[in-house]
Amino acid sequence: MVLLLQLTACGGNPSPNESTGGSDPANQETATDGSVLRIGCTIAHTTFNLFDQGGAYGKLNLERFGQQPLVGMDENGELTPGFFETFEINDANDTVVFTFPTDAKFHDGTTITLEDVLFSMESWMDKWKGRGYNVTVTDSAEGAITCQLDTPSAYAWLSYGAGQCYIAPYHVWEKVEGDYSSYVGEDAHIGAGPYRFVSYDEAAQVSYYEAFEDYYWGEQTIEKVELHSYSSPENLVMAIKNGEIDAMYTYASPIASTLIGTLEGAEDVETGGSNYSGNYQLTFGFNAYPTNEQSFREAVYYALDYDLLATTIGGNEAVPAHRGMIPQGNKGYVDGYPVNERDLEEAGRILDEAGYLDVDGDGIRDDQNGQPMTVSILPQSGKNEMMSRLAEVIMNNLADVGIQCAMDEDAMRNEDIFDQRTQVDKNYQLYVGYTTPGVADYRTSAFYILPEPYYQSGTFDDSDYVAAYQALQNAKNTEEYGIAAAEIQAINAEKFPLIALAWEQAYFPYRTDRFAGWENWPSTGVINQDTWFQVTLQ
Amino acid sequence: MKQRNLLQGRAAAVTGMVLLLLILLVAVFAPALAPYDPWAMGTPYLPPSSEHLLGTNDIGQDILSELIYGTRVSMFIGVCAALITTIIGTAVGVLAGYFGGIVDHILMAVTNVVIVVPSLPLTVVLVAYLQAGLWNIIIALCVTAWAGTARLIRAQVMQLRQQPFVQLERTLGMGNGYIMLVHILPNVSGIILTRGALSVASAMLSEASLSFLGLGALGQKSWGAILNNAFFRNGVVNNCWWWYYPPILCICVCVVAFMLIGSWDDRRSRGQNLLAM
Repeated sequence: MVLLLQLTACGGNPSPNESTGGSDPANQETATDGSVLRIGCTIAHTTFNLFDQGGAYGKLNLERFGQQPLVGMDENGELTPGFFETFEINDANDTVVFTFPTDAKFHDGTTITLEDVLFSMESWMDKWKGRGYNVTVTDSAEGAITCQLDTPSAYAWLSYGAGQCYIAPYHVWEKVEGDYSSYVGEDAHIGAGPYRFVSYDEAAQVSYYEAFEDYYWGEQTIEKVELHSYSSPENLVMAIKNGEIDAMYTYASPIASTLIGTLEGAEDVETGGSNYSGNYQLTFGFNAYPTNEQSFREAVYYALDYDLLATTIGGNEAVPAHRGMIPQGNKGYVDGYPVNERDLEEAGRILDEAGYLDVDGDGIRDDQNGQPMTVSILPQSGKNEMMSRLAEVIMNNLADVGIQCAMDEDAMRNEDIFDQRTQVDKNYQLYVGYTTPGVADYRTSAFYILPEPYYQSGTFDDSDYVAAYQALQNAKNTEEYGIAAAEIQAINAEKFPLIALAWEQAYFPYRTDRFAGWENWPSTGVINQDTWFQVTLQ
Repeated sequence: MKQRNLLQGRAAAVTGMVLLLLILLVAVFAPALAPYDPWAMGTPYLPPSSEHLLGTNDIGQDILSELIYGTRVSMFIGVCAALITTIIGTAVGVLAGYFGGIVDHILMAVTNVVIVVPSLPLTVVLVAYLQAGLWNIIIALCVTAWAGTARLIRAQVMQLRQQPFVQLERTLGMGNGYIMLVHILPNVSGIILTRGALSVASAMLSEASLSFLGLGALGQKSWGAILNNAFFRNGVVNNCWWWYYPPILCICVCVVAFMLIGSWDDRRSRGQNLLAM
């Protein structure tokens, strides 16, 4: 009896990461409940916290799941209503007037008040500042607030700032001190999104959700949702193939084309392919020689084998990118730039003319002063094996024109050295990186190469480029954004601060046997902001 | 019966040596045997054909050529790591066993600490923090691998130091160094060779594990690295057997070769001991 009591006591004080509603068995008997939408991802469950966007729950919230975003996005990246029902940007592009409902509710049944709105705006300020937007609430009343920015970038702020922030309950967070995203209380998940957190099975890495009956902004078409975490994309794909889950969601990490072949012949499975707005890229360091030399960068551009790079990145589905860098289909894409193509003769000619000659006859080019030259190449950390494979291909390609490269192995193996190299010293030469869809859609890859205050490891401080990027940030609408993006592409094509290695397809596979009404958003997949109101049980 | 065991052991050892010789020949003559430059890139993901007997990998490199060149790195790391661990283990074991007392206490305390440290996780951490390179991988592999050898040798040396011939040498005023080198070491040579051979196998497996985890020598062709690429670039889930089976087979053959050699030395030394009784 004593033992039994002790065991009961052990379960009576769950960690914040464990079930908060596990006492209701009905919530977990979903294996036989046909109405449950089962979503898979390759991100581990960490916390169920409104302000933590890192774990499985946090990432799914980016698609208007458990939390209600301040503004929403459609499949083309255009702004739509979120918590704020309307938003009006002034002509100077530095002020936004928002209106919001006064009878909407949080998951715990409390009504969302002006106090909650002001608290929410205040609590996201640091995140916005980190992205270059200084926002102040200048006027407020029940049902409306006015926000002022210190730069004319209101449209960009709404697109890349407010869209990823949520309305938060002040009565929950007023008691929390310090970093909100570290709070692990049982009420940390409470928000106003269409689905309410129910419980979490830590052993199975599955979390359970149910439709929020008082959701203000629409009517959910699915009653219950499960979120399954898998340790690898391979396991995730197998789970879809076996019918264990219905669809997948993973921000900026679609299923690789080399893996999608395993779904061939699988019944009731769609691969969910679309043009991907992100891409892999080679970035040149402008604080280091010789990558700060135009001639060297241009020679590298001609030396790369884009067909091989495309196949390595995306199998037969990826294609060589264009010289302007920005992938087709993205906002502001301009057609007409030449397709990247290898031309070893041209690369050799440029290097010869610029004075990168093989002075000592060892088959390796020396620098313009006749000194031995080894160019360092650094793959971005934390982005799987692909980065080092691409670096290997690039090294091999450059060797074909006599440029000797060496992997920066120390930085690759040690995160501290990597950060020192890229963010403190900023003295890298060739850097293999990646543009995520979020950045591609609202900032372009230019964001990653501009120096501080734009990006911590950027080194390209060309004044025309900075001006074009600033124009992009100051755009008031899609048209103005497109004009600025076109200028960025022109400079990319002329000065080669970075080179797109390929344009690829994004795959977010899903099943069609249980649910209908899927809509595959480019770069996002079928789990998107509209899923909860469109997908229905067959 | 004892003779029959020894003969069986000898046959196994000969088999191991033949295998090892073949592997060594492949390693030495890799440039002549490999059909392509293993770093040259062509068409990715080709299945086996007359042009590429084991197909090509994700960046178009010939897998057979990678495999042949991989023999060099795997053998180099395995043999070097085994040599170092055997020397350290032998030195510690002989010193502790021969001197006993405080020397034994200190050396065995260190050995016991090293033995209880989980070797692969420690190696992974060391490789991550040491500067990149083949030698640092070897050093990382050696940090914990010597302890088992040290304990075995110590036990044997403790028995030997009680033998009359050792007592006699001492009485005659022979130096400790002389006794250890000339009289003790030859008597534990069987264990040293056995442990040495098994250490090569163990180091090769550890190297393969490190490379599979992406912590091997970058840019070097090793069997573990081929497996790493096959796994993480989806060769396994796409059932590209020609990509992942050959390196597994090579590792197995190599390990078996060293174990056969090691087991014969073990049987021989045990046989000698039995015959001497």
